[in-house]
Amino acid sequence: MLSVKEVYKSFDALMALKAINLRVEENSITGLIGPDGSGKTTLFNVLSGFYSKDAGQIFFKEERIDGLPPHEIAKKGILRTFQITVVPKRMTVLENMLLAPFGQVGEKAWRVFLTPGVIRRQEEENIKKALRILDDLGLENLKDEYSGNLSGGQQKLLSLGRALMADPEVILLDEPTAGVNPTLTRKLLGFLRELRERGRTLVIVEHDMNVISSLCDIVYVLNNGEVIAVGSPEEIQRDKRVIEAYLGGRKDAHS
Amino acid sequence: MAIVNFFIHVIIMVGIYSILSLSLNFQVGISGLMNFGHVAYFAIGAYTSALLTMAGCPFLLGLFSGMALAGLFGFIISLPTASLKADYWAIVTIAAGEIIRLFFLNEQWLAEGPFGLRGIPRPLASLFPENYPIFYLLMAMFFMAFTYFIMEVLIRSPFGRALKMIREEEALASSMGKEVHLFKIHGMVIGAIFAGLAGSLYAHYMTFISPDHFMPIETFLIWVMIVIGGRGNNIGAIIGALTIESLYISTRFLKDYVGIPADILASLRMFMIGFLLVIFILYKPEGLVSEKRRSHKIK
Repeated sequence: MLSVKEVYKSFDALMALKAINLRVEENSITGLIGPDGSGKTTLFNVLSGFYSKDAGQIFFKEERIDGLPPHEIAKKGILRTFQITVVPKRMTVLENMLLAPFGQVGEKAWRVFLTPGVIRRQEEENIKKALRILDDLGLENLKDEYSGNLSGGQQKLLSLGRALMADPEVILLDEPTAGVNPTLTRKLLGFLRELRERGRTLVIVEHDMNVISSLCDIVYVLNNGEVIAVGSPEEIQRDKRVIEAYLGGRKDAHS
Repeated sequence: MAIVNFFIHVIIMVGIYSILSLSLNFQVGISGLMNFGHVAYFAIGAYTSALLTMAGCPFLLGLFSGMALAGLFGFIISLPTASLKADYWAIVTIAAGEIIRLFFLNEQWLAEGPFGLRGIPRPLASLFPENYPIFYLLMAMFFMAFTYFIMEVLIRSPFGRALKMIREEEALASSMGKEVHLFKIHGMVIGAIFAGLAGSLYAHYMTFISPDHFMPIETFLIWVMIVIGGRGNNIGAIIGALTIESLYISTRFLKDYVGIPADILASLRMFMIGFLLVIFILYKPEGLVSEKRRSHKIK
């Protein structure tokens, strides 16, 4: 579905990504783990078009997407969330959701005056869909609340919900459970599994090994900008190099 | 009668400045475009409309041409700069504002340079030989209401919603598939068109314009209007224009009552407005009327 071939990225003297090869299968959850500064978020930024790569290729369904600006990659069906949650603070939860759908006729200024009927119908449909998703995420009571007033965990959920509004084929989630309380995390994990069952493809950057093992089909381990291991969560946790680089060699690393 | 005429004058000016504050509010309050050169579009509207009507064109043609040229200038300015960050963008807009004023100051062949244009025709003046200011007041109110209506519709639309997202989180907007620079250009052009409208109304009301009328301080005054009125709220923009413009005009007559020379009074007036601005920024940063929270009725 999404494949990364020999991608390099450096910032001045720092090699942030070295010869990254990665394959994301359709309808799966792929995990990206690694110590801080190992290149996970950089890879996300390259995938979503926020950084340009120095060398290498990225394909989405056989089509080259490296070099495209972020908004075009988004429109192809790859959406991302951010590690530090960004929400338009002075907009309500429902407005946040309604921002997402592609092809909104009403986003063209002149159409606002020329075809108000078409826009109204589109809005009504989008509102219905938004309320369904908010209901799934347990945010329906907050629909008219400013998203800046939500808790960190709720904002994470909202980011995911907003991404879902656009019906993406691939969602890149940057630390979806960081700062989310345990109850909400459990709910979120259940929701992510459900998304996979409904045919979506997810790529997740995560630090929490429990989250990774309970969720991911395949895990890539990054260290110093390189992929040092690939495999199922169980294989990864037994890998000596991974234990050394990331799990810190602790005996209880996989408990 | 004098007091009535004075009020009519104040309300006409409030109407014209409301159009300016509504259009700047659309850029600054809604789209987050830090435009510090709004007076440029005001000047273009005023000069275009004045020059065309003085050459014999009908008023409405002058008005629409003023709006169109102001919009075009907004487009030209924002085309290469739309991808700049907010602070650099702000600098560009200050420069743009001064370029227009200096252009009219130095190109004497076009509009008499520093001497300004005199005898700008008043539309339909022959139909209202008696109470012309009342007619102009109605016209100013009509165009103010029209601007208000257009801005409200735009803000409530998905287009306005996308602009707000760009104001709040630009990176997020592009990650959600919005072409950020296109939206910014739209925001800039729409604001410019309506500033052009205000310019045309101003020129035909004053019947005299010169580069002195379009100093950077004008932009500052419009900014104060939207900060005091409430950024992001159209009613606030109008209330801000009403507050500042009536304060600005009425203090002009203070010299008749207190023994302060006119030049000191002019500085004192700006001091008062500046003081008011500081008070608001410190104690009521959201302004008199804060941005409306959009709630959706669910059927």
